[in-house]
Amino acid sequence: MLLVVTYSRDGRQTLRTMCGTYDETVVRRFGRAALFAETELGAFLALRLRAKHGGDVQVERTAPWNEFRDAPERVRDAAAEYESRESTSTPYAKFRAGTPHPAVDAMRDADL
Amino acid sequence: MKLALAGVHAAGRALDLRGRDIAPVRLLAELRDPESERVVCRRPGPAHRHVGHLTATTNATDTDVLAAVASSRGLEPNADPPPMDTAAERRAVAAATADVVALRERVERASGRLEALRDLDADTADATAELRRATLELTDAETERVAAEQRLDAAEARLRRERDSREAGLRRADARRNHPDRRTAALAERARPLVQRAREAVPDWNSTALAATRAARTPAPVVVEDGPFRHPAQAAACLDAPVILL
Repeated sequence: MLLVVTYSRDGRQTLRTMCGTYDETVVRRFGRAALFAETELGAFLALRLRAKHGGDVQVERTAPWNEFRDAPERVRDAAAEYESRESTSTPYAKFRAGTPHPAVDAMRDADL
Repeated sequence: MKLALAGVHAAGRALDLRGRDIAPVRLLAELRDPESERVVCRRPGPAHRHVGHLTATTNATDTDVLAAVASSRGLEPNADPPPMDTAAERRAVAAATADVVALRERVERASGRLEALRDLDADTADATAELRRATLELTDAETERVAAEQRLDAAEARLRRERDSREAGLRRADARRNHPDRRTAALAERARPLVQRAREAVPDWNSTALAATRAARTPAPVVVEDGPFRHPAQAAACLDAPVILL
Protein backbone atom coordinates (compact mmCIF):
# COMPACT_ATOMS: atom_id res chain seq x y z
CA MET A 1 0.00 0.00 0.00
CA LEU A 2 1.03 3.63 -0.27
CA LEU A 3 1.38 5.57 2.96
CA VAL A 4 0.75 9.25 2.30
CA VAL A 5 1.55 11.76 5.05
CA THR A 6 0.87 15.48 4.71
CA TYR A 7 2.75 18.16 6.63
CA SER A 8 0.64 21.25 5.98
CA ARG A 9 -2.87 22.42 6.64
CA ASP A 10 -3.57 22.75 2.89
CA GLY A 11 -2.16 19.30 2.22
CA ARG A 12 -4.36 17.81 4.89
CA GLN A 13 -7.38 19.53 3.38
CA THR A 14 -6.63 18.15 -0.10
CA LEU A 15 -6.14 14.69 1.36
CA ARG A 16 -9.43 14.94 3.20
CA THR A 17 -11.26 15.91 0.01
CA MET A 18 -9.68 13.02 -1.91
CA CYS A 19 -10.61 10.57 0.82
CA GLY A 20 -14.23 11.62 0.46
CA THR A 21 -14.19 11.17 -3.31
CA TYR A 22 -12.11 8.01 -3.80
CA ASP A 23 -13.47 5.83 -1.06
CA GLU A 24 -12.41 2.50 -2.57
CA THR A 25 -8.79 3.57 -3.16
CA VAL A 26 -8.34 4.94 0.36
CA VAL A 27 -7.78 1.83 2.45
CA ARG A 28 -7.59 3.80 5.69
CA ARG A 29 -7.36 7.37 6.81
CA PHE A 30 -5.68 8.78 9.91
CA GLY A 31 -5.82 12.56 10.50
CA ARG A 32 -3.00 13.92 8.33
CA ALA A 33 -2.15 10.57 6.73
CA ALA A 34 -3.80 7.85 4.68
CA LEU A 35 -3.12 4.46 3.17
CA PHE A 36 -3.90 4.20 -0.54
CA ALA A 37 -4.38 0.96 -2.42
CA GLU A 38 -1.35 0.13 -4.54
CA THR A 39 -3.12 0.74 -7.84
CA GLU A 40 -2.58 3.24 -10.61
CA LEU A 41 -5.36 5.29 -9.11
CA GLY A 42 -3.55 5.23 -5.75
CA ALA A 43 -0.42 6.48 -7.49
CA PHE A 44 -2.44 9.12 -9.35
CA LEU A 45 -3.82 10.49 -6.08
CA ALA A 46 -0.41 10.46 -4.37
CA LEU A 47 1.13 12.24 -7.34
CA ARG A 48 -1.59 14.87 -7.41
CA LEU A 49 -0.90 15.58 -3.74
CA ARG A 50 2.82 15.84 -4.49
CA ALA A 51 2.24 18.11 -7.47
CA LYS A 52 0.10 20.41 -5.39
CA HIS A 53 1.99 20.44 -2.07
CA GLY A 54 5.53 19.36 -2.99
CA GLY A 55 7.76 18.59 0.00
CA ASP A 56 4.84 18.69 2.38
CA VAL A 57 3.75 15.30 1.09
CA GLN A 58 5.64 12.14 2.03
CA VAL A 59 4.87 8.91 0.19
CA GLU A 60 6.13 5.54 1.39
CA ARG A 61 5.44 2.11 0.08
CA THR A 62 4.37 -0.35 2.77
CA ALA A 63 4.54 -4.13 2.76
CA PRO A 64 2.68 -6.62 4.94
CA TRP A 65 4.83 -7.76 7.82
CA ASN A 66 5.03 -11.40 8.75
CA GLU A 67 6.95 -11.65 12.01
CA PHE A 68 7.40 -15.41 11.56
CA ARG A 69 9.40 -14.72 8.43
CA ASP A 70 10.78 -11.22 9.13
CA ALA A 71 11.70 -11.20 12.84
CA PRO A 72 13.99 -13.60 14.71
CA GLU A 73 12.45 -16.07 17.13
CA ARG A 74 14.35 -14.64 20.13
CA VAL A 75 12.75 -11.23 19.55
CA ARG A 76 9.27 -12.76 19.16
CA ASP A 77 9.70 -14.78 22.35
CA ALA A 78 11.04 -11.81 24.30
CA ALA A 79 8.06 -9.65 23.28
CA ALA A 80 5.48 -12.33 24.05
CA GLU A 81 6.96 -13.20 27.42
CA TYR A 82 7.51 -9.59 28.47
CA GLU A 83 3.89 -8.74 27.67
CA SER A 84 2.69 -11.65 29.82
CA ARG A 85 4.93 -10.67 32.79
CA GLU A 86 3.33 -10.76 36.19
CA SER A 87 4.13 -7.25 37.34
CA THR A 88 3.37 -4.49 34.82
CA SER A 89 5.85 -2.18 36.53
CA THR A 90 8.89 -4.39 35.83
CA PRO A 91 11.13 -2.65 33.29
CA TYR A 92 12.39 -4.78 30.42
CA ALA A 93 16.04 -4.51 31.51
CA LYS A 94 15.17 -6.03 34.90
CA PHE A 95 12.82 -8.59 33.35
CA ARG A 96 15.47 -9.97 31.02
CA ALA A 97 18.21 -10.31 33.67
CA GLY A 98 19.16 -13.97 33.96
CA THR A 99 17.13 -14.96 30.88
CA PRO A 100 18.27 -15.53 27.27
CA HIS A 101 16.14 -12.58 26.06
CA PRO A 102 18.08 -10.01 23.99
CA ALA A 103 19.17 -6.64 25.40
CA VAL A 104 17.61 -3.44 24.11
CA ASP A 105 20.97 -2.15 22.84
CA ALA A 106 21.65 -5.39 20.99
CA MET A 107 18.25 -5.19 19.28
CA ARG A 108 18.74 -1.51 18.44
CA ASP A 109 21.94 -2.31 16.58
CA ALA A 110 20.61 -5.37 14.75
CA ASP A 111 18.78 -4.68 11.49
CA LEU A 112 15.94 -7.00 10.58
CA MET B 1 4.13 3.19 52.14
CA LYS B 2 6.00 5.08 54.83
CA LEU B 3 4.21 7.04 57.47
CA ALA B 4 5.33 9.50 60.14
CA LEU B 5 2.21 11.17 61.48
CA ALA B 6 1.02 12.33 64.89
CA GLY B 7 3.92 10.60 66.61
CA VAL B 8 3.32 7.30 64.77
CA HIS B 9 6.09 5.85 62.59
CA ALA B 10 5.27 2.87 60.40
CA ALA B 11 6.09 1.31 57.05
CA GLY B 12 4.66 -1.54 54.96
CA ARG B 13 1.80 -2.54 52.70
CA ALA B 14 -0.68 -3.13 55.53
CA LEU B 15 -0.65 -1.00 58.68
CA ASP B 16 -2.68 -1.29 61.83
CA LEU B 17 -3.18 2.16 63.37
CA ARG B 18 -6.27 1.30 65.38
CA GLY B 19 -6.30 2.98 68.76
CA ARG B 20 -3.91 5.69 67.58
CA ASP B 21 -4.98 9.27 67.69
CA ILE B 22 -5.15 9.88 63.93
CA ALA B 23 -8.08 11.62 62.26
CA PRO B 24 -9.15 9.80 59.06
CA VAL B 25 -9.61 13.08 57.18
CA ARG B 26 -6.09 14.18 58.04
CA LEU B 27 -4.62 10.81 57.04
CA LEU B 28 -6.46 10.82 53.71
CA ALA B 29 -5.35 14.37 52.92
CA GLU B 30 -1.74 13.37 53.56
CA LEU B 31 -1.77 10.19 51.49
CA ARG B 32 -3.49 11.90 48.56
CA ASP B 33 -0.90 14.68 48.61
CA PRO B 34 1.98 13.62 46.33
CA GLU B 35 4.25 16.18 48.05
CA SER B 36 3.53 14.94 51.56
CA GLU B 37 6.57 13.91 53.58
CA ARG B 38 4.45 12.55 56.41
CA VAL B 39 2.86 9.83 54.27
CA VAL B 40 4.92 8.62 51.32
CA CYS B 41 3.02 6.24 49.03
CA ARG B 42 2.02 5.72 45.41
CA ARG B 43 -0.44 7.97 43.59
CA PRO B 44 -4.08 7.29 44.51
CA GLY B 45 -5.49 6.69 41.00
CA PRO B 46 -9.03 7.52 39.88
CA ALA B 47 -10.92 5.18 42.25
CA HIS B 48 -9.34 6.32 45.50
CA ARG B 49 -11.63 9.34 45.78
CA HIS B 50 -14.57 6.92 46.06
CA VAL B 51 -13.18 3.82 47.74
CA GLY B 52 -10.06 5.18 49.51
CA HIS B 53 -11.96 5.60 52.78
CA LEU B 54 -14.18 2.71 53.79
CA THR B 55 -16.66 3.00 56.63
CA ALA B 56 -19.81 1.02 57.38
CA THR B 57 -21.78 3.60 55.40
CA THR B 58 -19.49 4.33 52.44
CA ASN B 59 -21.74 4.43 49.39
CA ALA B 60 -20.32 2.55 46.41
CA THR B 61 -23.43 1.92 44.32
CA ASP B 62 -23.38 5.09 42.23
CA THR B 63 -22.52 5.04 38.56
CA ASP B 64 -19.68 7.48 39.30
CA VAL B 65 -18.04 4.98 41.63
CA LEU B 66 -18.33 2.09 39.17
CA ALA B 67 -16.97 4.27 36.36
CA ALA B 68 -13.99 5.20 38.57
CA VAL B 69 -13.40 1.50 39.31
CA ALA B 70 -13.35 0.81 35.55
CA SER B 71 -10.97 3.66 34.74
CA SER B 72 -8.65 2.70 37.61
CA ARG B 73 -8.17 -0.59 35.74
CA GLY B 74 -7.56 1.21 32.46
CA LEU B 75 -10.84 -0.02 30.99
CA GLU B 76 -12.51 1.92 28.19
CA PRO B 77 -16.27 2.17 27.60
CA ASN B 78 -16.00 0.40 24.27
CA ALA B 79 -16.27 -3.27 25.23
CA ASP B 80 -15.99 -4.98 21.82
CA PRO B 81 -13.50 -7.84 21.98
CA PRO B 82 -10.50 -7.30 19.68
CA PRO B 83 -10.76 -9.17 16.36
CA MET B 84 -8.92 -12.43 15.87
CA ASP B 85 -5.36 -11.85 14.75
CA THR B 86 -4.06 -13.62 11.64
CA ALA B 87 -1.02 -15.00 13.47
CA ALA B 88 -1.76 -18.64 12.59
CA GLU B 89 -2.04 -17.78 8.89
CA ARG B 90 1.16 -15.70 8.98
CA ARG B 91 2.98 -18.54 10.67
CA ALA B 92 1.76 -21.01 8.02
CA VAL B 93 2.97 -18.76 5.19
CA ALA B 94 6.39 -18.39 6.85
CA ALA B 95 6.69 -22.16 7.31
CA ALA B 96 5.59 -22.91 3.74
CA THR B 97 8.06 -20.35 2.39
CA ALA B 98 10.91 -21.91 4.37
CA ASP B 99 9.96 -25.35 2.96
CA VAL B 100 10.04 -24.06 -0.60
CA VAL B 101 13.46 -22.46 -0.10
CA ALA B 102 14.90 -25.66 1.39
CA LEU B 103 13.45 -27.84 -1.40
CA ARG B 104 14.75 -25.52 -4.13
CA GLU B 105 18.23 -25.99 -2.71
CA ARG B 106 17.70 -29.76 -2.61
CA VAL B 107 16.61 -29.77 -6.27
CA GLU B 108 19.67 -27.73 -7.23
CA ARG B 109 21.97 -30.08 -5.36
CA ALA B 110 20.34 -33.17 -6.91
CA SER B 111 20.57 -31.73 -10.40
CA GLY B 112 24.22 -30.75 -9.87
CA ARG B 113 25.02 -34.25 -8.70
CA LEU B 114 23.25 -35.80 -11.68
CA GLU B 115 25.20 -33.62 -14.09
CA ALA B 116 28.50 -34.49 -12.41
CA LEU B 117 27.72 -38.21 -12.66
CA ARG B 118 26.80 -37.85 -16.34
CA ASP B 119 30.12 -36.12 -17.00
CA LEU B 120 31.85 -39.10 -15.44
CA ASP B 121 29.68 -41.57 -17.43
CA ALA B 122 28.74 -43.08 -14.05
CA ASP B 123 25.47 -44.78 -13.05
CA THR B 124 22.83 -42.06 -12.75
CA ALA B 125 19.75 -44.10 -11.73
CA ASP B 126 19.82 -43.09 -8.02
CA ALA B 127 20.60 -39.47 -8.79
CA THR B 128 17.77 -39.31 -11.34
CA ALA B 129 15.34 -40.78 -8.85
CA GLU B 130 16.42 -38.30 -6.15
CA LEU B 131 16.00 -35.37 -8.55
CA ARG B 132 12.53 -36.57 -9.49
CA ARG B 133 11.55 -36.98 -5.81
CA ALA B 134 12.88 -33.54 -4.86
CA THR B 135 11.14 -31.91 -7.83
CA LEU B 136 7.81 -33.51 -6.91
CA GLU B 137 8.16 -32.40 -3.31
CA LEU B 138 9.03 -28.90 -4.44
CA THR B 139 5.88 -28.76 -6.58
CA ASP B 140 3.80 -29.84 -3.59
CA ALA B 141 5.47 -27.28 -1.34
CA GLU B 142 4.87 -24.51 -3.85
CA THR B 143 1.21 -25.48 -4.09
CA GLU B 144 1.00 -25.44 -0.29
CA ARG B 145 2.63 -22.01 -0.16
CA VAL B 146 0.13 -20.57 -2.65
CA ALA B 147 -2.71 -22.04 -0.60
CA ALA B 148 -1.26 -20.61 2.65
CA GLU B 149 -0.92 -17.19 1.04
CA GLN B 150 -4.52 -17.33 -0.13
CA ARG B 151 -5.69 -18.25 3.35
CA LEU B 152 -3.69 -15.33 4.76
CA ASP B 153 -5.16 -12.94 2.17
CA ALA B 154 -8.68 -14.08 3.03
CA ALA B 155 -8.00 -13.68 6.76
CA GLU B 156 -6.51 -10.22 6.19
CA ALA B 157 -9.55 -9.19 4.17
CA ARG B 158 -11.83 -10.31 7.00
CA LEU B 159 -9.66 -8.46 9.53
CA ARG B 160 -9.81 -5.31 7.40
CA ARG B 161 -13.61 -5.42 7.46
CA GLU B 162 -13.56 -5.88 11.22
CA ARG B 163 -11.16 -2.97 11.54
CA ASP B 164 -13.55 -0.82 9.56
CA SER B 165 -16.26 -1.47 12.11
CA ARG B 166 -13.82 -0.98 14.99
CA GLU B 167 -12.84 2.37 13.56
CA ALA B 168 -16.50 3.32 13.47
CA GLY B 169 -16.75 2.17 17.11
CA LEU B 170 -13.78 4.34 18.07
CA ARG B 171 -15.42 7.32 16.39
CA ARG B 172 -18.56 6.68 18.41
CA ALA B 173 -16.43 6.47 21.56
CA ASP B 174 -14.82 9.81 20.70
CA ALA B 175 -18.27 11.29 20.27
CA ARG B 176 -19.21 9.87 23.67
CA ARG B 177 -16.31 11.72 25.20
CA ASN B 178 -18.28 14.89 24.50
CA HIS B 179 -21.22 13.45 26.46
CA PRO B 180 -19.68 12.73 29.87
CA ASP B 181 -22.85 11.14 31.27
CA ARG B 182 -23.02 8.54 28.52
CA ARG B 183 -19.34 7.83 28.91
CA THR B 184 -19.71 7.36 32.66
CA ALA B 185 -22.65 5.02 32.21
CA ALA B 186 -20.80 2.95 29.60
CA LEU B 187 -17.71 2.74 31.82
CA ALA B 188 -19.80 1.72 34.84
CA GLU B 189 -21.25 -1.17 32.82
CA ARG B 190 -17.75 -2.52 32.34
CA ALA B 191 -17.03 -2.46 36.07
CA ARG B 192 -20.32 -4.00 37.17
CA PRO B 193 -19.40 -7.68 36.50
CA LEU B 194 -16.00 -7.19 38.17
CA VAL B 195 -17.60 -5.79 41.33
CA GLN B 196 -20.17 -8.57 41.26
CA ARG B 197 -17.43 -11.19 41.16
CA ALA B 198 -15.41 -9.42 43.88
CA ARG B 199 -18.45 -9.56 46.17
CA GLU B 200 -17.91 -13.30 46.63
CA ALA B 201 -14.50 -12.67 48.16
CA VAL B 202 -15.31 -10.02 50.75
CA PRO B 203 -16.83 -10.21 54.27
CA ASP B 204 -20.40 -9.30 55.03
CA TRP B 205 -19.79 -5.66 56.09
CA ASN B 206 -20.70 -2.97 53.55
CA SER B 207 -19.85 -5.62 51.01
CA THR B 208 -20.69 -3.34 48.09
CA ALA B 209 -17.95 -0.91 49.06
CA LEU B 210 -15.48 -3.71 49.86
CA ALA B 211 -16.19 -5.36 46.51
CA ALA B 212 -15.78 -2.09 44.60
CA THR B 213 -12.43 -1.54 46.35
CA ARG B 214 -11.30 -5.05 45.56
CA ALA B 215 -12.30 -4.63 41.91
CA ALA B 216 -10.55 -1.26 41.63
CA ARG B 217 -6.83 -0.72 41.26
CA THR B 218 -5.81 1.49 44.17
CA PRO B 219 -2.04 2.04 44.34
CA ALA B 220 -2.34 4.35 47.40
CA PRO B 221 -3.46 2.82 50.71
CA VAL B 222 -7.15 2.33 51.44
CA VAL B 223 -8.19 3.56 54.88
CA VAL B 224 -10.63 1.17 56.57
CA GLU B 225 -12.38 2.67 59.59
CA ASP B 226 -13.84 0.30 62.22
CA GLY B 227 -13.87 -2.42 59.60
CA PRO B 228 -14.43 -6.19 59.74
CA PHE B 229 -10.76 -7.21 59.49
CA ARG B 230 -8.79 -8.65 62.36
CA HIS B 231 -5.34 -8.31 60.77
CA PRO B 232 -4.14 -5.60 58.36
CA ALA B 233 -2.54 -8.19 56.05
CA GLN B 234 -5.88 -9.96 55.78
CA ALA B 235 -7.48 -6.64 54.75
CA ALA B 236 -4.77 -5.98 52.16
CA ALA B 237 -5.26 -9.44 50.67
CA CYS B 238 -9.04 -9.10 50.62
CA LEU B 239 -9.05 -5.62 49.09
CA ASP B 240 -6.06 -6.32 46.84
CA ALA B 241 -4.59 -2.98 47.87
CA PRO B 242 -2.30 -1.40 50.45
CA VAL B 243 -4.33 -0.82 53.58
CA ILE B 244 -4.38 1.24 56.78
CA LEU B 245 -6.76 0.08 59.50
CA LEU B 246 -8.14 2.81 61.74
